[in-house]
Amino acid sequence: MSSIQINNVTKRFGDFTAVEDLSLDIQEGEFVALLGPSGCGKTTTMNMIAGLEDISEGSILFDGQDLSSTRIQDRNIGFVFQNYAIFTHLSVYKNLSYGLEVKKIDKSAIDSRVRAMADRMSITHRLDQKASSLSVNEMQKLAIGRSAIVEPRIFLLDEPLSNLDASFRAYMRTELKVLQHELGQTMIYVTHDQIEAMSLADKIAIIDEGKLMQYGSPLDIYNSPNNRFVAHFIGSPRMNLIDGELRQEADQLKLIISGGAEIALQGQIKSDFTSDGRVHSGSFGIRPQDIYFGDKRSSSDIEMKGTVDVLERVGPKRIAHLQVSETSFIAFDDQDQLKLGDEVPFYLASDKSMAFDVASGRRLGVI
Amino acid sequence: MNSLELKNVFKTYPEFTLGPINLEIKQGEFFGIFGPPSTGKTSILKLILGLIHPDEGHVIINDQDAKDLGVSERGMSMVFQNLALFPHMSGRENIIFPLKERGATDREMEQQLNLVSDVLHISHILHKNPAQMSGGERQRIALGRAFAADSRAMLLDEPIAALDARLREEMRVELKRLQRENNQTFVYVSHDEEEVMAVSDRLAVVIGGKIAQVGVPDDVYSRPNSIAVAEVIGSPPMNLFQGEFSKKGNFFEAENFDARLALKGQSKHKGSATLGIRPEDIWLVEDGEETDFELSIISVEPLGGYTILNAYLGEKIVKIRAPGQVNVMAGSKQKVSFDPRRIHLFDDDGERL
Repeated sequence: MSSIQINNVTKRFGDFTAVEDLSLDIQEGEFVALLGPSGCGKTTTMNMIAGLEDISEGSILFDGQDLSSTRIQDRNIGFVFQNYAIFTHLSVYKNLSYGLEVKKIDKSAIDSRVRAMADRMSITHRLDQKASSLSVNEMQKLAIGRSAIVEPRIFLLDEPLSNLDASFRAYMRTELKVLQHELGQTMIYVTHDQIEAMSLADKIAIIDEGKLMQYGSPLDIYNSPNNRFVAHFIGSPRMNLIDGELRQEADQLKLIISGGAEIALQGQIKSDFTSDGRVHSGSFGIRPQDIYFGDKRSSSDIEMKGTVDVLERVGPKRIAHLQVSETSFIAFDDQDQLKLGDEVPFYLASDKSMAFDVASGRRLGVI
Repeated sequence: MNSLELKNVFKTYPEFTLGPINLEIKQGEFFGIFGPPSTGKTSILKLILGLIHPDEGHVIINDQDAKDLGVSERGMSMVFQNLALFPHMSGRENIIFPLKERGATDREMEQQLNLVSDVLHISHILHKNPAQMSGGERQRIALGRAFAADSRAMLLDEPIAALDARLREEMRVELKRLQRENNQTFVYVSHDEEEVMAVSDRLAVVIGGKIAQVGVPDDVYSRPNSIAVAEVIGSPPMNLFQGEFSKKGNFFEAENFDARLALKGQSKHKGSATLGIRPEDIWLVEDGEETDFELSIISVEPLGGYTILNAYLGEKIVKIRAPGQVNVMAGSKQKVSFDPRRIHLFDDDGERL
């Protein structure tokens, strides 16, 4: 087990900068997700940690130690790939014992460690069979098991669940989290799926276009995104981000949105938007669950009126798309009463709203 | 008026039989077909389109038996999962191809092209060839071609599966708007339960080549008519417990844990059964309150708007979906109760009681 320090790392491929000035501190035993859209540089970052890719600038330290001159096979890093690399022609036992044999570990010690891992993975009854006879489910467990058995200093997983169907993916997610907890392993997990990252990781590093956007616990990031990209990327259904022009009329500050409708800013969100006087185009952020119907709950909440344009059944609830002029707000139909075409008043909870600068994307006001 | 009808349709393959399929799809309806992989969903679309013919039964299009109608006479467009774009044509040429074939005027073609590029956000890729496009872009061009053809009914086979999550959420809303504005009939196949439930006016759940349930999404979700449907609709899936009714039928005693669950009213059914409860219908309760059960928490998945808890109830793993952000630690004990109005009961054949 190791801690990892990534210090101002940059990676260039010719003229293209894949990763730019990235710094991350990963504590021993932590589960960290590298999250971002495809092409954002997350896999390149992982490859640099693994030593598969050279670093153009900066350094990566393991327990304070630079391993860049150590051969890859001696770095003791465990890997699990999207297409689980297991030896299908060998037995399950052999797959598990292989990594230990390479390290020339004593035979009886190998046997007990193989059996313990097989038991942990509930594949003991399969030990003598060929790996090719396993179900997809069991192959995935074997792939993780054979990496975990050598007790690598860190464990790198590159979209390990993306080939699986939805229900099994949810199951493996739980398994993986329990396993990480039991092994106390430092794990780095690359994914583009924000739900996977949220549910698994102790900390998430969100990367876009090679740059670190935010690094923190899932709930810190969800509750307090520090820019518009993160706000848009994290959360399902997504946060409403309504762009508009700020306009001061008498003592009333308004956000004029597409189609000419107005959001009359009040309370905390009003002071957030005015915290930087140079900002003229603002983005109003509010999560669907912070929009409500019925009676106004706080005097600073903002009243709007919209037409129910689309209703979607999503899990236990219905999502309503409320059309306000040319802009659509997503809200939960929390009272199960909306009908298509209804024109309804609704409220934006002011203290749950967030302000962003459209030009730079940065969060405005107190975070 | 029914736009499409399948009456007692069977189709036999060497290792798989589809049928009996009975479906009535109304004009202007957004009809979803959902099921796990390889259950015959795509075959149903091919039967409607006329690419394959039923061994038994009838496909009826606008009240007319379609057995003598060729593919092009049926007035349908289909968007395949694997796209089938013309590789040597630009996005634009691909889209207007069916209109050109039909001899549409330049003005009409331009109009249709503008309409679909707006909805699908593809103006910026119209000049590219398919080889220069990303998977998601190709998928949108294929959709554009089908829409531009302005056919009576659209058959869509996983049309947005290749897009990333955010774009998928956006596109499904756009598709629904478009379908409603054009008053077209859509038959929409997907193995993504959330997607089908979100877009469909009604849906059919297909399992093992048979139709397991047809209904509006709200009903299929709140009253699945079998264990098979309950297992595939809803994420995380419904928690299921085997057990028995008490002699009087007012309690359910599960095998996995030592507790009796009071039922609302009495069950006429005697003996063994399966009890189901959705993750959101298990409530966390404070110490001291009257509760049904105590769980030990295995892991906590904070998703921001809600929290998924994995826990042991006796020896069985249950999943709970709690609203908002909850302060529960892995390894701790948690008291819960089951919402008595939201309990599902199934008999030994898996049918709803």
